[in-house]
Amino acid sequence: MDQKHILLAEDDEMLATLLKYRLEKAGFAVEVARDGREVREALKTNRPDILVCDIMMPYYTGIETVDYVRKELQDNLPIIMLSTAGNETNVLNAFELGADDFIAKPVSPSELVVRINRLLIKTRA
Amino acid sequence: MSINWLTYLPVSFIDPPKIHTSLVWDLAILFAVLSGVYFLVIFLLRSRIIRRNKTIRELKLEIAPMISNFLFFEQDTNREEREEYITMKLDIRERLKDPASRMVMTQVLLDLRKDVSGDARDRVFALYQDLGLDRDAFAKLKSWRWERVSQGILDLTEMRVDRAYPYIRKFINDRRSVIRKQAQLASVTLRAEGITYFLDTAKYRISEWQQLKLLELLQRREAFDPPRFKAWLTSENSDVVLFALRLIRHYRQTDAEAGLIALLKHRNSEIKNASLECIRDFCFSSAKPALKEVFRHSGEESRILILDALAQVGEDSDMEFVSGIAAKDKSFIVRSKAKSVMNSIAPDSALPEFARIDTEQAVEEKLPEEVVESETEPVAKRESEMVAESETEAIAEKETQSYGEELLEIEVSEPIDLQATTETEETNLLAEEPDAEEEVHPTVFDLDELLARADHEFTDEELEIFDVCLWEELDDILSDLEPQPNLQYLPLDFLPIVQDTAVAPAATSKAVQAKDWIDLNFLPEVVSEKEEVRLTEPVEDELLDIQFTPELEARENAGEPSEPSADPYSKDPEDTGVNALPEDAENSLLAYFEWDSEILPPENKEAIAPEDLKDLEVAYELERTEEDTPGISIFQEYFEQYDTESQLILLEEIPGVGGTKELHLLQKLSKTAPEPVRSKATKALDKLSKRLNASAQKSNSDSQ
Repeated sequence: MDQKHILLAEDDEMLATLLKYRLEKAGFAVEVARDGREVREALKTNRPDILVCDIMMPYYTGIETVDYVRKELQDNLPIIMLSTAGNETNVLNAFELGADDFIAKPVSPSELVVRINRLLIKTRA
Repeated sequence: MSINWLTYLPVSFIDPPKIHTSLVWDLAILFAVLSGVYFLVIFLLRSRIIRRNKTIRELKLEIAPMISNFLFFEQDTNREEREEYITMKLDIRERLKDPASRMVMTQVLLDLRKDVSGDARDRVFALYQDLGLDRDAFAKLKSWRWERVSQGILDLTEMRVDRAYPYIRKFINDRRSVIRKQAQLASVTLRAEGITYFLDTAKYRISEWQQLKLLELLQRREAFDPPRFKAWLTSENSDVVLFALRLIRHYRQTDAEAGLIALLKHRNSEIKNASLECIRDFCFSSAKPALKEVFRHSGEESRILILDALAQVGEDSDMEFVSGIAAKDKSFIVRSKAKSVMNSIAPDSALPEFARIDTEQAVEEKLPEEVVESETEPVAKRESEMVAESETEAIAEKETQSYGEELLEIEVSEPIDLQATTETEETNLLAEEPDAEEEVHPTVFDLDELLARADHEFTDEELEIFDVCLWEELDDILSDLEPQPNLQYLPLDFLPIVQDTAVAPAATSKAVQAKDWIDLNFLPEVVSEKEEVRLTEPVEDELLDIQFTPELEARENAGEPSEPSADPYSKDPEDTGVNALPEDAENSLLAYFEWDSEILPPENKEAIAPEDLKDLEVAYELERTEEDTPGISIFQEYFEQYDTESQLILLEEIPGVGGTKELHLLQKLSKTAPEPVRSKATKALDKLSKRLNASAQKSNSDSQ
């Protein structure tokens, strides 16, 4: 079975480390990007199977990243957004731009794993 | 000698003091050293802070994977992972001996607590206590510094250290407000019985903000079974009672009925109002007697709340009480509220009361003049009544009917004669007479009135009337705006301001049409005469008064009878036999010649022989000379206004066309005008005199 490649865009080091550990433990190959620029570079060099992206990031926000993926790269890459609870406007914007799923912070790593698996199955289908 | 002493004594006072240069150098070196030390200390502190932050960052990078490993370690993994876990655990125990590592680890776990949820968060809490990091927080509780105590309480609360509850609740009544508030929140957060203990023991005031935060924490608690808060309605702390009332209302604890009713008599108005809100929300009908009893002794806000409660629990038997309030209470708001409560208890029981308006009588009383003169007064008056008496519907009905009658009256009393109006407005257009507008625009007032009342509703009939009036007005306005070709030579600026509107309009318009044929507007006196005739005489008189109509006289001379004119203003000479000339045309041969040469059709021109024209001219001139004073030449204005070159050109032409008036003009110019006009005028005078004499002699010989 191929190991799925996840690009995790999260500027909080601790949370990124924790999620990376949890996702690797769940069997994914995780690449962490700390800001919007790193996300764009990573997307150009190595297309992931799924993108887990925080909305609030330096340089390019998660919404801009979604817009970049959908409009400039014209890629239907599955995208899961991470955002603090109550940030409804950003979430709606992200969905309008083409995000596939959304998880509110604080994140439950187990829930994230479940959502990623479900989205990958859905994409594969 | 004494003088010398006095003279030199002050000098000794201003001598410079002796300065020890060695001391100055010592001070300079001292300050230099101090400044060096100061900068060195700053540098060292800054370096230390930077180094510390760097260490913390590195530690975080080292510890974060370890914590992640701890958090997500599962016992059912393989042996290698288990060995790795045990090794890591030993490593982390060693690190915990270092205060910096402990601090970093605490920070990491506190941060993670905010970012993760679910089982990961529970594992964070467990790891915090497992690693013994809570001991640091407990140690902070013993500090004398309020910020450290507060931080310790916060850490223990956030990491859900349940066993810290007995230690924290001691601070609920701490004299330091920050610690006190922190302890109150921690007590409620850590254990369910924390709220009970807090309400039992709280001595200090509980701010509104604190109450909200406590309520929020209670709402967040999972499987929280709220205690019966009625137990604290008897607390000596008013804020506790108030908070208990709010909690009762929030958790809808209706078993507190007796306590809530009893609190209606509480001295504290806040408590009283809170209990009223509870009674209103819970609809305690048993509270009605108490509500009525305390109403008299309550303030305005409480009275409104009591009425609110009565609106929920009131019955028909309470109507008398409420209607009494509606009639007698001093406060307008309370009276209004009472009326609304009456309608809540018995719908449609309190309807607006007002005297019925007899529309017919109102219309009869209103004279037509009043309707016209005071067009806005009734509206303003009725509007003010509407606000004061709340009789909106009745007033609207009255206005609608009244306006309808007014419109009808105006139409009947002032019937619109469209033809007369149109013709009179033509006159007004010429005269630009603002005073006459009201007379010739009887319907304009109606339109304005309607527009002024546009905010009100109109019936269909009124709208139809309005449409008719509007279209009539629109037609009139458009007819006014239509360009009249006959007015192209007629400047309006010199027209008389005052105009008699009784003038027959047909004469005016037709007289105006004649302006096309001969333009004599440059002569003020002619214009004034022309205006006078045009505006005061009918067209028949105007035609009859024409003293000199060349063609007529030519025909008379030729023995032909003059034919009556079907349309004297027609431009077709065959129809009229003569082009209507304004009476002032007779004053000028020049006008005649222009008329003749430019307008008269060729066949008519041929009908008048040049000899006849000369005869006519001489006869006319003689007649005018005998009858009239010399008058003013039409050229006079030119000589007053034009430049010398133009005047010289005119002087060349005048001997050929001039008459007796020009003789006088030339005589005047030959005496008064400057050179070279004077010499030219003298020559022209000679020529004109000769020509006129020759003409006179010839006419005399012909007559003989």
